[in-house]
Amino acid sequence: MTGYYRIDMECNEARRVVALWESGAEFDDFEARKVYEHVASCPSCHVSCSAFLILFSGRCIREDSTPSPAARFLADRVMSEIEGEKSPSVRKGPRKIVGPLLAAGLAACVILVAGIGWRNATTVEVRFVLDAPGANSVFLAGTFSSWEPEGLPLRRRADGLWERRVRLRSGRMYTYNFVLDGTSWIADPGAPEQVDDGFGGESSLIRL
Amino acid sequence: MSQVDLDEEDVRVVHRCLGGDSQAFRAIVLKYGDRMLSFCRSRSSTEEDAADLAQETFVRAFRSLGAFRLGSSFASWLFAIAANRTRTGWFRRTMEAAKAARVGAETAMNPGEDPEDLALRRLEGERVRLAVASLAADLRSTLELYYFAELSVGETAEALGVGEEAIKSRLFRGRKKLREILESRN
Repeated sequence: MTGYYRIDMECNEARRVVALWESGAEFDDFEARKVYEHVASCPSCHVSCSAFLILFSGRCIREDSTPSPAARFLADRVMSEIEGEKSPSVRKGPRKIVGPLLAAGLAACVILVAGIGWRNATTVEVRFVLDAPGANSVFLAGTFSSWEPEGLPLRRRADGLWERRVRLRSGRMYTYNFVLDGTSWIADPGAPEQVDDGFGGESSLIRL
Repeated sequence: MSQVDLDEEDVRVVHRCLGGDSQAFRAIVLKYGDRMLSFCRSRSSTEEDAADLAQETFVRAFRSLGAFRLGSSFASWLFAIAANRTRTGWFRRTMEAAKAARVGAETAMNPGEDPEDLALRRLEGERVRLAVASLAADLRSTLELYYFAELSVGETAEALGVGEEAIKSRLFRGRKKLREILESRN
């Protein structure tokens, strides 16, 4: 009977802590691991604490850094694919930042930060403009929108250019793309810097 | 930008790769492989898709190493590549086509485990992952990077280009929302 009581108490305590966590309370990996040990080994707690169990499975299982067989197999696959490739080299430094007036003169795609936009201690209004006469829709996707492809639509102005204003925090840098007709991800040709997007294309980079 | 602890080991490996020692990259894959697989499972329909996405991410990271800014978090950069990859139309279509086949890989069977219990756990794993996938994009990406990719709050902030307070808020709101979703589906 002693054993049953002890298990019941563990279940109650584990579920109480997990309920607090689900309600927003924080706890560190050490605390999580203690609760996880019980939940993972207790069939009756599997269901009631499933969200905790799934979300913390990685942090709690991988106490040491020994790669799993799956990770070792993955390493073999990756190294096999890149075998014989030339080593990557450091890219040339970012292009010189084009001043707002010069960028506007290009009349293709410009970001206006200061001057036309406004700025205070923490936020900057950035105006994204794109000349894409053949597009039916244009969206802005970037690190400021979790790269959501349809999160920030641009509107077509009377002069045909697409425009969107976004307030961003100053002192940060952001990468972004324009998404044309839901399929084509293009870099901003008027942005001061372009960076590799990791997929064979480019994203644009701004520093505010 | 957010303050993160820079991993000197990562920096050393990147330097070696850039210096011509491509084989050094294996250490990166071994170090982040399990976390990458866990993250990719959250965005994939099958174990095979997750492994393919993880492989593709590492290969692209290798080829883009020259663009990595020494001084920033390698983990943030690496998982930002993975997260970006999943935003393409091709990826979304592929995932939707095979959504039904997804199985929670974290529910690997332990020796002596009851098959019925294992099946129940897999169903629960799938239920939670679907609930996470149904969250708003900002909450979903935050939870996936923090819990599945095991990034710190600072690293998650850097990967998503937002502040640490925003990440803490999203984690808080994400867990609450997750609970609501799971309770409503019971």
